[in-house]
Amino acid sequence: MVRYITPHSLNEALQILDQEEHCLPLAGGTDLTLLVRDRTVQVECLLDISKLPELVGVHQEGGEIRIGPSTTLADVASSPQLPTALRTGAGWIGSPQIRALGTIGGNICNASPCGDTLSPLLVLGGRFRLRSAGGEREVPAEAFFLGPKRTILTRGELLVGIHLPREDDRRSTFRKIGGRGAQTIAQVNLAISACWREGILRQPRLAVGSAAPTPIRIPAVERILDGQSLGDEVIAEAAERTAAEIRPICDQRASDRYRRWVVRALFRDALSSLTEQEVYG
Amino acid sequence: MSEINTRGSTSGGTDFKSVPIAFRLNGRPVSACIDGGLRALDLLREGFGLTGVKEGCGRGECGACTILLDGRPVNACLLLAAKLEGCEVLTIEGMASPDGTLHPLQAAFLKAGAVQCGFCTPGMVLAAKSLLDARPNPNEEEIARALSGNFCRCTGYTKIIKAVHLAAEEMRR
Amino acid sequence: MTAPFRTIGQPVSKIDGVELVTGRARYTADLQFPGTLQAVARRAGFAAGLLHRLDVEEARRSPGVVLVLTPADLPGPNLIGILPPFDQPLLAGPEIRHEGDSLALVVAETQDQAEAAASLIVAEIEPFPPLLDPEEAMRPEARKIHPNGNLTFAKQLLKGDVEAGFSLAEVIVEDTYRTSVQDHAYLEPEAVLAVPESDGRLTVYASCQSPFHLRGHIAANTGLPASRVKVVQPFVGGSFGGKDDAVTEMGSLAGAAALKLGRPVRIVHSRRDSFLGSHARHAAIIHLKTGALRDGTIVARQAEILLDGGAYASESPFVVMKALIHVAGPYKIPHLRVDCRAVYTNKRQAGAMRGFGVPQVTFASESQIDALARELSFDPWELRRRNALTVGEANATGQVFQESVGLIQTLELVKVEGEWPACWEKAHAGSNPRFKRGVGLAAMMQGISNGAEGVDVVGASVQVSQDGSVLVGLGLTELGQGSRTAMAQIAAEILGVRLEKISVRQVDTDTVHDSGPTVASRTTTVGGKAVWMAAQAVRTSLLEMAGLMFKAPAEAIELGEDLAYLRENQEAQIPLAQVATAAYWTGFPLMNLAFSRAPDAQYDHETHQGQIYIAYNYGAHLMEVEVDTWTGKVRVLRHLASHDVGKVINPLGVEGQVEGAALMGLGFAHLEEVLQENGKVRNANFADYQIPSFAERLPTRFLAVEEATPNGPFGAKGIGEPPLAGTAAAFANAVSDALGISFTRLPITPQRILEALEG
Repeated sequence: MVRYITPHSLNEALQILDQEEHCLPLAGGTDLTLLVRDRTVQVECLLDISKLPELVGVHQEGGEIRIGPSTTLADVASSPQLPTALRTGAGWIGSPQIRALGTIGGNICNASPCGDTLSPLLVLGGRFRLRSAGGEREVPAEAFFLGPKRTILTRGELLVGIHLPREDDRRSTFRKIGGRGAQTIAQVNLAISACWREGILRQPRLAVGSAAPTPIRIPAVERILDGQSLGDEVIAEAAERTAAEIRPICDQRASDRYRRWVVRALFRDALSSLTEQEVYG
Repeated sequence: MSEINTRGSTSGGTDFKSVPIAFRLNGRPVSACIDGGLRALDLLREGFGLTGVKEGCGRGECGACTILLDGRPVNACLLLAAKLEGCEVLTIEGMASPDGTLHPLQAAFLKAGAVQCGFCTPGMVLAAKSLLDARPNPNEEEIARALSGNFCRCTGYTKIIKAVHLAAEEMRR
Repeated sequence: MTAPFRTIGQPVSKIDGVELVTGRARYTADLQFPGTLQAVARRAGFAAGLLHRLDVEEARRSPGVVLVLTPADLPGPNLIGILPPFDQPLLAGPEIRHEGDSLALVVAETQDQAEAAASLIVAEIEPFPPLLDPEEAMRPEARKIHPNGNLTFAKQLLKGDVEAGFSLAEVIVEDTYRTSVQDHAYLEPEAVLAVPESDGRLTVYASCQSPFHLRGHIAANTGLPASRVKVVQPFVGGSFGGKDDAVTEMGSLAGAAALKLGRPVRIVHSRRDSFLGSHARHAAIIHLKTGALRDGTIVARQAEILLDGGAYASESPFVVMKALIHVAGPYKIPHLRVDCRAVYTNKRQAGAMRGFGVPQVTFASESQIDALARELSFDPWELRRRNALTVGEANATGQVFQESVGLIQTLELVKVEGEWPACWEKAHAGSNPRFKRGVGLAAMMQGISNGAEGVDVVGASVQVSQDGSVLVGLGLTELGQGSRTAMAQIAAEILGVRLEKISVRQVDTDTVHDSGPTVASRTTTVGGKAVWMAAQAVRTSLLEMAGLMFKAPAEAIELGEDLAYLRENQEAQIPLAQVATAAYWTGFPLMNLAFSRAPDAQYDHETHQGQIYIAYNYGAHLMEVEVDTWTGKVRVLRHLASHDVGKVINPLGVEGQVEGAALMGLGFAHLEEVLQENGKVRNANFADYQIPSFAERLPTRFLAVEEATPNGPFGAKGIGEPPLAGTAAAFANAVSDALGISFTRLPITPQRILEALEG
């Protein structure tokens, strides 16, 4: 028997999580339902945080954008105030059906290396606010992921906010390759953000998913690109370096070699799209 | 109130059902008392006899169990029944008019030959309805993208796209 | 009958379509009976080994469990199969032959309880190193998977003198081709529901393809006479050859449990169960050698085909025969030697799947035709045309048809519509370093009917009621392919009634004649012929009655639009209902049971020469692709599929079959592969097993050729299977053409493309 609690406020939710040992927070449920059904997790109580007003919606606050973790992937994908990479990544997850239920917080906390919002969050300077009954902390997105399905979240702690700095002159883009053209899991995904002015790329950030136990930034390539005008040679060097820097696994979805080959294509496509697109507002 | 076990028959249930829910199902108010781990798929099929909601994979990968939740297509196999509370649910059984007249999408699927074995059809029709309600005149790519969460193994998809075009035309009249 | 037809050849919506689009159609898992129990099999989890101990005590005590069925509890032989001696146990042990072997069946009040209990069963298995490679399994020292060794079935085809043929050859090409395991991946997983009846009989509702096959095995394994078992086929959510073995196993187990408990027992496979516990398409290794003259005339071909049959024989013997006969392709080759074998390995068994061995050998054959064209510097279309079978020419088995050989017409159509060879030149005119274009051709043929694989008799009944409505019964099954609609059209045409007046009932073994399996693209051809015959008999009654009413000879009367009327004076009409009522009161028979029997195959079992199939479907495909050399992704830009279908009964249905088979062919050639590691399936779900999605849909255009066969109704030949092989072969040739690399292994996945490009 599983109990199901719908708290009225974030504080109430945090109190319950604090007190109930076998209570799991549930947002859209598109991942958790399967774990419960497969008996991968034993659950006595589910805490539905998907409708808590504090956790839903996209808000502009001063110099930053705050995304409530219970915002659905569909809403993230269609929020014009969000950066292109994040919207695109969210729009590539699963299917319309999954995106209507699944949330960005769920995608983050599920911590799959192939999660399509993760590499965008890494290149957008995302910070996660975590809160428990005992207090609150904020961490950069990169510090959050420990390994496949493992994060720094402790018992009783909830992701309560995703914060992106507003950088009006920063552009971003996202690319993904999977076994199919739709309804597919990333064999590799990749996000780039940078400032692109007068033909020069500045402060670039590059992240790759499904290429290591967690989504990773590739600082070596960022250094190659910084301050460059993106001639063929630079692009070629950066693409090769990206392939060399990732540490992909070989599994039923793709070989490590294939992931290294296609990441070069994703990188080139992302870069050309980045330098042609409009700056987001 | 229907008493529903997790993925089981309605008989022989002795478990305590802790969660009362009320929602609108195909236009009618309904209520049930359920276990928190119950899937919407099982509630609809076994509790309400709506077997037009199909289970093809149980993992949100095929779309056969698609229903509309407040107008949006979702996988009933990934949806906990408790989440139906207060929502408006549409299944394929609620698509035709009460007098039996087919919805233009249903008629178009037949006319275009978009139905073979029919197992994917309920989910496909519902996903298409959600699209046409939002976009009365979609192009081919929009249709393909809106239905991309639904697999069909029989038709090769082409006639399904044709059917949605046909229905859109009919509905714009 | 006088042309033009009223119904035949018209695009007709499915007669059972309203049920399907409204959700009213009930599939097996949708049926509800009071007190139904749920059952789950505990699977071995090892590809090979010896079961030392099976402890089900804890499972028996688990909440909700009412029965755990073990081999000792089965009253029958605990064996199923296609050809005796049967080799597949319902519940395995002590020998474990593949990961998905069922060891015990847990029956409980709910599915959850059954699943939980199944995980409590303790199976002590001593694992063996699994035999996974069919070539390794053929070595004399290999461990025997079955007592008689690892060779499941072997056949040889000999035509002419192959050595002499090759000695004439001026050019010889030779290669080895490989294809992989493809899953049927119908959207509805296998399901059965066994209901013990109060009269001592057993009813089994089953998502199945061949109800009489099930009935026989369920009877044997439950200890009931076959006459006490009724198998009912509700709506079926796709089959493609897949719903035989597994459903037979499930039906027998559920039947045994239901009889023991006196309660209905249901088994519904999860998607994972479907991948582990049902059969799939044979992976193949095909060594092929072709010899030709410089002028393009093929003079000899030699093939060794090795089919990976997996753990049990299933349909392997028949797939062996089909591959054997079809590896020569649709060509007149005077000298042939083909050896085809199926072998046991420790994998899920291979059996029937849409195409039945033909897609594998067509890929090999058509790849080699392209290789030969390159070797000869010959236009690949011209090479196919030069060697194409025609009326009056002997095919691989020496069979000569005097009609209905439309191969050249299909080749001509794709040439004209595809603008070959201009399209090829255009595709190669581009100089994009990243995106490469190519055009591929394929020609193929596929035998229609069981042919040499077995007796081919189908029973059908046609019954006209006094109100002029018609009930058709047939022993072959509707699986989504639209056969019910085609049968209705045939009856409607002959009886002159509107389609709405016709019902074609679901198959129930109590009410129709055992007509063998719904396979081999034979439903329209052989089944339709039976309906045609039965309808003709009832038509005779109606015409005679109408003759009496009109006071005119029967020949002067025609039926149409629910009326009987005089040919010479169409204003003189009597409603058909009145004729039927009068016929009833006059005592004229308004029902007929007819049997269509395909001419028996006449052939030599040693050489496989003779009259084997009643007709062949011929086809030619042209496909243009664009390959992204950075990612290996392939976009299909154009696909022409021309087939000689004899006569189009329902254009909508035929197009649907072509488009659906084509996309399944793309899956076979490009995306789909059941991956196994140490005999364990690694992608038993749709996230990792890549069936095509909307994004992969093909721009298939069907071009019909209608060379009628006297052996099918109105000349029709089956179309359910052939386009799959044509599409797959054309795809392989197109990608090879685009990249200038000969791909000899399917599927040609993006990863394999990059492996070939990157070296």
